[in-house]
Amino acid sequence: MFFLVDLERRIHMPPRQFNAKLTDSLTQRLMQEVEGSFAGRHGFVVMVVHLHEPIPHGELDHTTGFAVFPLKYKALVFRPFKGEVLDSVVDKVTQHGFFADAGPLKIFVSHHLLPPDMGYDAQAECWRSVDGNDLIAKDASVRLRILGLKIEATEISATGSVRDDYLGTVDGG
Amino acid sequence: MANPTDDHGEIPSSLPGAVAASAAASATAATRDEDAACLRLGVMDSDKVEVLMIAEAAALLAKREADHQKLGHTYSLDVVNGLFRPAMNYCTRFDRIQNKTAVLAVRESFDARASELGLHAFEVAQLVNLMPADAEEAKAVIPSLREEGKIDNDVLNSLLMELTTFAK
Repeated sequence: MFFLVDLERRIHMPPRQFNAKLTDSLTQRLMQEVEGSFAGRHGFVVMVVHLHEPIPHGELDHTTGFAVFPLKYKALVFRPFKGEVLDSVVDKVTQHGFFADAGPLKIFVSHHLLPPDMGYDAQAECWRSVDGNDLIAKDASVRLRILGLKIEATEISATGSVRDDYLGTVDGG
Repeated sequence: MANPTDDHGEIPSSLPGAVAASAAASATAATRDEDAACLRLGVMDSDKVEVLMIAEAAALLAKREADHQKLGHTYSLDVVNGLFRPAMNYCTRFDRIQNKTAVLAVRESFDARASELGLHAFEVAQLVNLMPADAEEAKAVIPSLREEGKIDNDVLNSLLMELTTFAK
């Protein structure tokens, strides 16, 4: 799920940027530092939406001569939850299950959590239902439920299931 | 066990690996309680946090890319932000709302009506993102809707019908 959250970051600016374009430079540096990063409990920082104004005064760090700005900003984050149902794109299929991507999040669905009527086709590298109607192959859109989440130092990894009703391949893309 | 004075699980990038890993472990422990099916959303359940529909995230990302190009940068956003393209592709693919005007209309009318009916912002976003065909499907994929007395199937069906008018 996407959220807008307020986050904070201390940005260090070198003296050569203490000029009329300081605000722009601050924004640029903030974006470089946080966009695409992982913010723990807040999930993945996808982009900075805007800085909160007024921009606070910078404090000089006497040892480096840099000014430190405690910036507050609004970020677009992607943060999954256990129990959340979401759409994903299949990336890799193996006999053990499949990996799917939902934006920045990678989800593994074990073959134990596929509908019991699906079998692995090693030739075609896909999971196929007995009646042939459902096909889980690379690039398919699959609706899955997140069962488990593990927050690691630089990312979240997830496991999911497509075993229940209304889960599995869907339209999209 | 989470320290009650924890600063919302932020993992400072300056921390050495072992300390960052243990911060992550405590973040995992704290998230063990979270469960979207019961609307237990941890730090994301606060007045200061807005839940966005995929359609809205798509609009923000598109604007960011347009602004970037207007600034005349020689490099694409993907170079500095490894999450931009995956997020953008995801939003483009699964955005189920017709166009920008429709997105605004959904926020104004559908969202307002759903909130009046007592639905949580997370549930509203899920309804728009997943576009269930009927109340039964909605309650299957958004389990928090099954809560006793939360929303009648008839009311939910009429909400869903209103939503389809905005769909692609």
